[in-house]
Amino acid sequence: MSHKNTLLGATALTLATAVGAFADGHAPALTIAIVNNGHMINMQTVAEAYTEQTGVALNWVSLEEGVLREQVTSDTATGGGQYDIINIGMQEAPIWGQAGWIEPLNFSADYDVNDILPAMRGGLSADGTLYAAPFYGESSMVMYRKDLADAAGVTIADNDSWDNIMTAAAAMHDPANGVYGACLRGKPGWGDNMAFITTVVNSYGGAWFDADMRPVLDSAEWNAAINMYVELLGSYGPPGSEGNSFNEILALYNEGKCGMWIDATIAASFLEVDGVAYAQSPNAGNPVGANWLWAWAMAVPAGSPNMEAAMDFIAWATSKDYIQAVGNHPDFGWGSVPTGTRASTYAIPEFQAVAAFAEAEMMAIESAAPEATAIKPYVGVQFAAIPEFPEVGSAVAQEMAAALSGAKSVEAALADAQAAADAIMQEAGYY
Amino acid sequence: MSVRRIPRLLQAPAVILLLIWMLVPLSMTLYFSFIRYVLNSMRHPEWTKPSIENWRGFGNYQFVLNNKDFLLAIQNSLLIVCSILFLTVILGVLIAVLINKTFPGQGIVRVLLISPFFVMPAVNAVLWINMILDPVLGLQGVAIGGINELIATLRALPLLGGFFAMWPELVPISFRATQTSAWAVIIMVTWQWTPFAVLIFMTSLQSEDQQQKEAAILDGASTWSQFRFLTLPHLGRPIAIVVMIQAIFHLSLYAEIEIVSRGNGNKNLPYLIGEFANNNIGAASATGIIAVILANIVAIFLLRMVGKTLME
Repeated sequence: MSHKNTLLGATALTLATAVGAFADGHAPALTIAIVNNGHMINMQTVAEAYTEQTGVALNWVSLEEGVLREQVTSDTATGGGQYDIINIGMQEAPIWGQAGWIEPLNFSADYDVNDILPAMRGGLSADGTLYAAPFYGESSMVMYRKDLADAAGVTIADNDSWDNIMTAAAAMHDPANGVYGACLRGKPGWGDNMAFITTVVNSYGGAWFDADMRPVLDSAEWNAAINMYVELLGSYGPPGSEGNSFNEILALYNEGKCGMWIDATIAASFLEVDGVAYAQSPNAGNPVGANWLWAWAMAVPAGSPNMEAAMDFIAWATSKDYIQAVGNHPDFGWGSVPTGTRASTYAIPEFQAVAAFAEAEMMAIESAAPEATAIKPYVGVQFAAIPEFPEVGSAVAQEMAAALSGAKSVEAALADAQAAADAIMQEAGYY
Repeated sequence: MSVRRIPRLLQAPAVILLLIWMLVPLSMTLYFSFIRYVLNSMRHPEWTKPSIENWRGFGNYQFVLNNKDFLLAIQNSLLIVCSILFLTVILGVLIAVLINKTFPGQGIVRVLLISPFFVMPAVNAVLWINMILDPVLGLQGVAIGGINELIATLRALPLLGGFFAMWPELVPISFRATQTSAWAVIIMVTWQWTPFAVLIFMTSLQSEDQQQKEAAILDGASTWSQFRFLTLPHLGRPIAIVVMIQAIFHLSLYAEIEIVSRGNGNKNLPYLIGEFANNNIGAASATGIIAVILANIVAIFLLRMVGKTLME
């Protein structure tokens, strides 16, 4: 989920004041905090037309994902009122909505809220109320080199079993020629390795917490999933996998060093290697838990003085018109439209023509189920929508990286992870 | 008014300002470390505001001390600082002695030697971990790939092939792994701070008593003896100063740890504080107080050591 896909590394703080014609001098100015991912950076240019049309000036504050989270959390929690619109993800939206930190969103009929994919609406709602509008969304899927798979004589099917994935990875693995069977996330972080690892665990029928919100990382499902993960990545992954996340693997894949990659669907639009084929994520039996679900969305902090103007802007930025505006924009085109939010996007012929991955992406998003189920009593697929999750996720992430580098056995790492998660949940007053 | 009181009165504003400057943040940290203060707690909204009603006593300290990474963080803090100090002092003395003699191109060599010190810590870490230490795309991966290829070609040789066949294939080291990430930090910080040591030692060497040295040469002292009994004692003070300044700086390393492995295996106390500070201000403050105590213990030893050499 955490792909800082355009701006690597340094924290960029861009304060770009949009130049606009002020019709009456009283038009409001909106301050918008965005994450510095490609689609949002593009929005700053596309929205110049919005300013021209409405006279609403837009101040952009573009921040790196982690910094944005910190800024927005402290500003919203303390009612600072620095921003009129904030970028938040699926992890925050339902919690903040329930806490009353962000305003519920009510759009007019021509916004066509039912066009937004149900999985996205579900993940950004609390108790049936939509609190954030998705700007782009993603799930995860298998991206593999058809040429290598054919040469090795293996096939990868939709929702394949992990055993078959292991066999395929082994067949494509050729380190002497710089090709590694499977490139998967290993870098510690709740949005890095845990995004992938949790979906694997989900596919085995495992979850983060039980009905009392006690962590269950010492369960048989976690054990089976992590053993498989460590074996798959340890045997057929590139050396140094514990340092790889989205950006690192994207670089490796585009260098032709990966046979197969299971990651965010959004990666497909950045792949520069020929002969890539797509398949739905592998599964070990859980009917709804094979892949993750994530969206970057826009929300209005409670009590914003420019609430009306902010709602209007969100309605425009997440509308069908916006998709058209990006597709027809001279600087961008149909390859750069934000995907994963509206069903109607996938029906646009110009988009279909440039996006070979569209069908697989749509299928993956539709099959993901963020709602609480009997298996997991919390909202979220590859995370839990509780405020303590980043803390729990990061602590567990480091243990998983230790298991992957062989510093600990899988059993010891899971036991330590369970103890750490238990301490954090107890500290937070859950039980 | 006595003669003594006037200067004291005149000093008072500065002293009081300094006291406030230091005491306010410290006492706030101390206060936060004894209360429940969690930024976004949904279960207990009362904890999200710093208030005396959330008094917790030593609970935050207990939570921190029971953290599974607390001992690791202290160990790593000391391991990283001591290793860097050891390496920079040794390398610094050797390089300083080496370039103290006049040779052609001396100016350029000195500038090149000192330049790593002007690289920003975050840039330093990104450069090293991605471009040099990376096991696939970095210099390490490329070099090891090249060596393996060379060995493979040598194995095909008619006569010597059998000899090379016994050689193992080299495997690149992952410097982001739990076992090695602390070493990656030590390598990159040593690279960055050795120039500092060289700079200080070089300046000091230029004030070395040349007459004494000439006398030693006339007496037939070997180069090693000259170094051991003249140069090294002369460098005692600068070494103490380098050790003290670096110890202070390296106890608070953060950027390199974040970039190398996000605290996996190379976490130190400041990093642990950073992890708590995302949400649990109480625990972060408690860790901060522990870090202050630890730093003071280190400082007492260092000041004594430096004080001793300065007194001699």
